[in-house]
Amino acid sequence: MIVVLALTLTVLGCACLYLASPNQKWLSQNLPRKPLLAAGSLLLVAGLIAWIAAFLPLSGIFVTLHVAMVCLFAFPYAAALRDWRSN
Amino acid sequence: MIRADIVKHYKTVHTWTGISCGLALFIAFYAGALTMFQEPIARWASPPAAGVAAVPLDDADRLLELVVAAHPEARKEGITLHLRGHENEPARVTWEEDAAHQEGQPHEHVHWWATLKPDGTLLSKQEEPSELAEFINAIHMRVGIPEPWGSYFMGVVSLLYGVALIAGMIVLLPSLTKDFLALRVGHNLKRMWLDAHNVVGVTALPFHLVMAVTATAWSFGGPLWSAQESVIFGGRQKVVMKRDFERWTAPNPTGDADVMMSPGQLLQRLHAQVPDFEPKVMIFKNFGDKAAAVRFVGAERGYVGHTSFGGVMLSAVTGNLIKDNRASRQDPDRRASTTIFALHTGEYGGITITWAYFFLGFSGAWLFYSGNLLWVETRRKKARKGREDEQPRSTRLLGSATVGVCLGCVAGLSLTIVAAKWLHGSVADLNAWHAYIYYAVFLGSVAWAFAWGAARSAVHLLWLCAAATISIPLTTVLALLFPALGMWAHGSAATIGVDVVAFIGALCFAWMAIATARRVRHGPADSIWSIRKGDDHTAHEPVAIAAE
Repeated sequence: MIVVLALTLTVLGCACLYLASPNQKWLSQNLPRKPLLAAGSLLLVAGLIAWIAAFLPLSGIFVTLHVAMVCLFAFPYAAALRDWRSN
Repeated sequence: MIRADIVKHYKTVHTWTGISCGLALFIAFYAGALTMFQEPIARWASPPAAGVAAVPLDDADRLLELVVAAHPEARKEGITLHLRGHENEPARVTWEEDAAHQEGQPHEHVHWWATLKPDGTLLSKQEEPSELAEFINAIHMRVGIPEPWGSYFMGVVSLLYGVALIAGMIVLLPSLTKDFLALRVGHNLKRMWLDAHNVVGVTALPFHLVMAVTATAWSFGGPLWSAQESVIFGGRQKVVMKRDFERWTAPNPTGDADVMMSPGQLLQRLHAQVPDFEPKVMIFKNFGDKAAAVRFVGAERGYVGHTSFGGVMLSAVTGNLIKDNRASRQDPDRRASTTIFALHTGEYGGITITWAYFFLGFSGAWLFYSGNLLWVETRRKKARKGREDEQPRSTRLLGSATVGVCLGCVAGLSLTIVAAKWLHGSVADLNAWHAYIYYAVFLGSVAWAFAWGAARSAVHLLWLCAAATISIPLTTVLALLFPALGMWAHGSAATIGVDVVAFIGALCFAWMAIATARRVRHGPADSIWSIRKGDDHTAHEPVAIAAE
């Protein structure tokens, strides 16, 4: 259960960070950057705490990092795939 | 601000290191992604042991006694008692014996399994387990080049990979903030490939840095160790290593017989003394001797590198803890090295990290593939004023090599997985056939790509990849529908997962084949990715870019 929670928080945190980027392609208009960055950071910290609770501090840090890496390259590709299909 | 001429130098370094090692790294990363599911693949490929019923753990002590009586030589090597009952563990008990070998040649082993017949007597059989998963791992580690040259080659490749990563980051620094997470799909193909390459390279940079460092250390580990030993330590390293090995070795046999505790009792003793340890197997050494020991191999959850060099040893006579090599009990230096190498293998974090590394492995393969495509696109000669120039020879050759090597590796691995079921029982040495099939498909694909050119062969080979990969779940379905074929369909979630992932992978390859075919026929003709060479005067009109 805590793993699902940790995963959800990390994915949502990365989604906020992606939406905060001026290069995001999910929305036609960019949203205010600072609130998204703050929300993303908070969610990632919460995710990190949950991962640490699920494993141990070192494992928790590395799991958060690797899940975040997957999300951060997958989100731009998901947007590009949608754009390519709609074209 | 970095000077433009410095950036230009690093760009040259990044380009040429990337091009020179990109194809080998594609193979290493694609096969590496598959090794994240090494165990499910091994289970998928392993036939059910005919006529073998699972021996209950309560009867395992009798089974062990019968094995020792019939095969006394197994006591020294160690008898493994499997606790999980996976498909790649043919019976409750397995062991290895030395095979006949020539003087000076490395030792080889033959594998045995044993179980109890319905009448309670021993049934033992020598049978080599499927080494498919090990073969995929060997391709991952040495891209199919025999030892020791494969390791040396991959060591150099990993070093160049590290250089390419650092040089690439320096090249990107001036535009990093502006272009971070940008992936612009459009008619500017160079921009698109650059973004596609950079998104993966930048976001997964920590993963790639760890891979580059650990792969270099692994590949050059043997020669570096020998060099250190002779130049720095003067023989003392071997002494330290021997002392280190003693932490895992069982006590020497006394020659006096004693009564063994049953496996069930030993498990209870383990849980009482080290409650956080999750054992997978029990390895009995010197069974029946007063100094007999049982080593529990398993994981201590939560640690990075939870199983590497881990294990707990109990006396098989008293159940007392003899040696404790769990992650939490390792020395700081051992813990540090275990942690660093576990970051390469993804040995932590459970199924989340397995899947994360699987996707990161594929993204790494894509990084090198897209790097090559970017190189080709950068050197593309665009048609001007009705004149259509021939594309440079270098781009045509690299295009063919990229298509042949990358797709040949994909198709070869898929087909060699399928062969585990189709060839079982039909060939004498299935493990050798895994290699024959892989190399035949791989080399055939490379030859095909050079013979037909990048554009045509990309379509052909993508369809081959799709067909080879869909054959994995189709084989399982056929095994279910036609038992007379002699194949098997395991029902565990892990083995069904292999079929499901292969099915999704096959759909992806089919989609790429369709998109590539469209691009080859209708895309701009002034590219190596087109088959329209001066036969279509509409070549220069803008068209939708599908697969390029």
